[in-house]
Amino acid sequence: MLDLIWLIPLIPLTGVLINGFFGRRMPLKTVGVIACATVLIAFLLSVGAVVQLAGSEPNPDGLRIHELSLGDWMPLDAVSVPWEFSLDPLGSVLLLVVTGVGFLIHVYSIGYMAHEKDYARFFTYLNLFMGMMLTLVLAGNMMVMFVGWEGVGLCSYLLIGFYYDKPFDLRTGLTCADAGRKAFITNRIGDFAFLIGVLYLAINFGTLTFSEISERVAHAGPGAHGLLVGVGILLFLGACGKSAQIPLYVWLPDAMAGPTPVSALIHAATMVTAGVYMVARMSALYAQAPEAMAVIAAVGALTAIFAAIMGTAATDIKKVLAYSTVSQLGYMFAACGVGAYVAGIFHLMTHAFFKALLFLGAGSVIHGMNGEQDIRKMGGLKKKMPRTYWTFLVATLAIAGIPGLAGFFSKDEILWGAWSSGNKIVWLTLAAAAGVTAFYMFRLVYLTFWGTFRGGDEAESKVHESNSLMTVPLMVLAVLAAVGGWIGIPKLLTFGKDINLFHHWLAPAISLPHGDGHGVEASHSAGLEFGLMAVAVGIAVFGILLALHVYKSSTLPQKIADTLGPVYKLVRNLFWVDELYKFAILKPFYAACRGFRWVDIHVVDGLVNGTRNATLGLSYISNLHDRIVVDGLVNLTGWVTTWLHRMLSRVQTGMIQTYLSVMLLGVFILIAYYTLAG
Amino acid sequence: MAGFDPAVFIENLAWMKPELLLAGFGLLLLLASATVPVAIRQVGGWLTLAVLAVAAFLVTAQLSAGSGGTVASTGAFPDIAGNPAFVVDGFAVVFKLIFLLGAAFTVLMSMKYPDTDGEDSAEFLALVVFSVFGMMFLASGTGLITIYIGLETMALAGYLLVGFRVQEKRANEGAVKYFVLGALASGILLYGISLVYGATGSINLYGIAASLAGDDSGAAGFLGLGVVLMLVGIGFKVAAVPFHMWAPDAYEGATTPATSFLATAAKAGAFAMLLRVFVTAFGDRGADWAPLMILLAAASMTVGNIAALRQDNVKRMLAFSSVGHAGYVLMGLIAVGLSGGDAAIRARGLLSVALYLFIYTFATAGAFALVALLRKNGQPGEMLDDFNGLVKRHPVASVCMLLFLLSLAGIPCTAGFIGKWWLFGAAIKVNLVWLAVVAVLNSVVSLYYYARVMVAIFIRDGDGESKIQVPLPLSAAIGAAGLFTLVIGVYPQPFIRLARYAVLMMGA
Repeated sequence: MLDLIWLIPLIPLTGVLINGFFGRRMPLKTVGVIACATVLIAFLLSVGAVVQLAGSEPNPDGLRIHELSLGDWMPLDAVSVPWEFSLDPLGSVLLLVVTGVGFLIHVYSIGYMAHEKDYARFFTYLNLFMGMMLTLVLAGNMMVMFVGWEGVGLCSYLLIGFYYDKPFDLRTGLTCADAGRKAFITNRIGDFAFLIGVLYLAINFGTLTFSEISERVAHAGPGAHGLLVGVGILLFLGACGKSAQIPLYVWLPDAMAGPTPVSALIHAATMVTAGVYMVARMSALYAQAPEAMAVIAAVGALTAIFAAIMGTAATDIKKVLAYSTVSQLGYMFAACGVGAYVAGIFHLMTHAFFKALLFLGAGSVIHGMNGEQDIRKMGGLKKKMPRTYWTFLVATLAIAGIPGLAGFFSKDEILWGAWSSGNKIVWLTLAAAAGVTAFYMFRLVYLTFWGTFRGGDEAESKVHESNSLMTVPLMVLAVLAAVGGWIGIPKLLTFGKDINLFHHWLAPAISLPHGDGHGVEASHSAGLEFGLMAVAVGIAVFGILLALHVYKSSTLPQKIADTLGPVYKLVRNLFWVDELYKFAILKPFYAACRGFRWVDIHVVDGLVNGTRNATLGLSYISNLHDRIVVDGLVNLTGWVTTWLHRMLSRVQTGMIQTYLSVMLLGVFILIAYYTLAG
Repeated sequence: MAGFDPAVFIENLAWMKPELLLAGFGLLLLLASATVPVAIRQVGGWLTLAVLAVAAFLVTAQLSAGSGGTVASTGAFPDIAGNPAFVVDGFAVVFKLIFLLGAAFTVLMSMKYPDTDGEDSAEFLALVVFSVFGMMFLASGTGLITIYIGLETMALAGYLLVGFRVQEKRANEGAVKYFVLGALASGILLYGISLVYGATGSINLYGIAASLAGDDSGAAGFLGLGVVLMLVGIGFKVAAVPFHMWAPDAYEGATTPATSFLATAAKAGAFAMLLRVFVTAFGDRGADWAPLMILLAAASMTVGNIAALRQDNVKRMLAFSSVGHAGYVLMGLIAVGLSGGDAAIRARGLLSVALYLFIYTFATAGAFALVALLRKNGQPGEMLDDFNGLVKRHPVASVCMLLFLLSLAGIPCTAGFIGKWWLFGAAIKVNLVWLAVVAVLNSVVSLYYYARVMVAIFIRDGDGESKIQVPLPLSAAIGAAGLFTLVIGVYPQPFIRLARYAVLMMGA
């Protein structure tokens, strides 16, 4: 079955073909079943492949890896790029998360999208996304990964703009289509850096295959140090775009314009974690470039706290979760940056469980509230939507880091990784962010499910619990969010027994900097670790209690907002980062555009004057000027070529005499050219 | 230098099996047209296709595995001075396959159409077969006289194909123009050949090359003039600017299958000759003739594409576009000329020409098949307006047309992109970046007029006509062309491997 891993991405793509071509004519049920079935088959294949991988013999480095090549794709002079796929422990985690959580979300979507008119289009995109994401995960080299990388970006764009004709953000006047564009363009910046990094790798190491890169980078010698740091930072910039880190995070909150299952699948559980996955994939490179790792750790920690603070002031249920996602991704990057890759990937997995659950729960709430997303108009939904409420609460406790639930284990491992590697500031930032996380999550729970309903009687009477197509996936995810962390239980909590399966499975796939023996195996004081754990839990509990205290009162939140005044306004307006980008980048860009256009107009005018005689020229200038101002450069080239065309067709008279003369003229020109040039 | 030995002669004839097959079959067709014309209309097309397939098989069989499976074994038919006069090498094989492919598309388009212009008659098929026969000597011939006869065989059949619809004024006009200009070009070519003969004392390509290798100065002027005139003569056949003026009229006047034949097989034939002559005989003087070709290439691309911009007749538009494509293909040849003995660059140049001609054949033949499809009640459907709303009348054919046009424009994921990638890359390898830039700009221009057809098909409304019934041969042609255009675009490796055989040129 390991030799069939290339089939895994292809299976959802068959769903794309069927639903894409015939979906409109098929009954809705068939469309949904086909879409879910392809993902289920992919999931089963994945399980089979991973089981087989676990049973295979590890190579001398202790790594279980299966690589296969399907023949040449781009045989270039310096580097040959085959269609390569590979599966190793790192990929297997992502593979199971993507197909497993993906399947649940597909099932959920059948219920959620039942009232949409473009049902088939939605599932076509969703399946296309699965195919691309699985290509990304199973890629054996950077180029194949890039195919998936761009593919998921495309699907993200298509799905964010799914309700392309609806307005999305009244404050900024964005439509959903604009939000899609914003995501696409922001990602493009990161992708550009990523591609440059890939090309540097190709030029300097002559390969793009992951296993070969790891090997060659490890033996690169000190001369290549600068290059590796540069490439590391370029690749990380790509990851920043895809995984919404500072400074490229701005697209993710707006990505909430897409349907909620999309937010859960793409913008919480899978695609946005691709950056983390890629950084972990390149751990061998980063092991040689500690400076790049420091950058990653710093950006990750900063994003974690920054986004968490923004989450405390958002009022759209999905936007709160979006900022939370940005923040949690920051955790994962911080983990990679301090060398605790295993913890980062672990958190990636648990986050996929609880964040998908949170989003699907939010979707259920929105569904039950008939489209309302503003948490200020909710409240008291606990009784109306018990299943949604209880599952949502499990996820909230998990993300807040309450001991025993999935988020606790992974977050604690990250914090310990930061402390034990000597990055105390990173630890402090992340611990503080954990408190803020607990605060905004319980604020969300409070405003949504507790208290009294604030949306008016008429709206209240219409609130209903979602059907079981939607709630069953919620319950499955709730179980995962509750117990999914136990496979990565730290030694500390098992009385010295080492049963941290996750770590043993994943560790061989990761390369750490030389002489850097930290991590779970490092010698340390159990007391210290326990103490830090207690501090982190304490901070989280404090955050929860604070939220409960503040939102119990109906006037206190407003009072706090008034007291904090400018600070609250700053947070409420998202630190004015969008505006900053607008003034620092977009405005100068438009100004430059206008400048270039000015040059175009004048230079072109000059050309026309030079080539045409004055009388004719003058009559054309105003014409030409108008056209450029109105239609831009494209029309200009069209105009010039058309003019040339008219000149040429005057020669093509249809008279054979002309033809003969032109031909003979050509002969003479060639002879003259040959004599003069030779 | 031994005397005539019949046994050796027969043995050598074995190298000409495909040619002999075609010649024999062509004669049989003519005979049949006099005796059983109705029967031929029923089965002639399929029969011709079968013979073309057998010929393709015979041609391929000549590629026996050499050492390591990469080298094609080659055979030669010596002339009286002991030089090979007819060679069978990888180059010849690849080009012959291109000719046969182009011819097969033409035959498919001509078959059993409800209101055919008589293209399914035996004469029409025989002319196609004879023309291919002539082309094969362009690919294999290495004596200038052999090549010239091959060229005339191809061209005479071509003139007749253009004028095949004797009742049609445009056909007569195109044929006469093509013939008069072609005669002039032949004269110029012959004059060039005689000058080269005078300067080198040989009319065999290998003899010329040997003579040039020994002597660097003698009669350089004559030689140069001869080379230029030969370039003009062949440039006419590939329809390079400024020798392209016949093409629009001839393409427009000819019936659509014949036009497709001129645009694909005949053009490939001329390119085979151009490569064979200039690489084998004048290969060492590449730096001398390459600048001339650069001039022709740049002019062809620019003039061809710009002239195509506002044509409302799709056949005429495709004619100008094919002039532009000749310009692109010349870049591969230029790379060979400027390779300066670098085998890798030379190989890339030859490979890219062969690959592009394959790709171009699929897209062009496919596009013309669409034009043939739109004919109704004996009226050719070649105007842009005839394409309006085609997507409603035949969605699959419309998508195929989209593929052909995208491929011709060189958009990624279609074959045309791969072809242009190799050609433009070849130009860049010999530091002709500016020429590659000109080529890219021209591709952008070309997208404009290809897009006009796409707009007509997919956006404009037609006059609400019913769905089109496509006869089997035509749908086979369109389907095959579409399939290959797409497959080569995504998975070009097998075709690149095939085109790589074109690098194997005997003795060069």
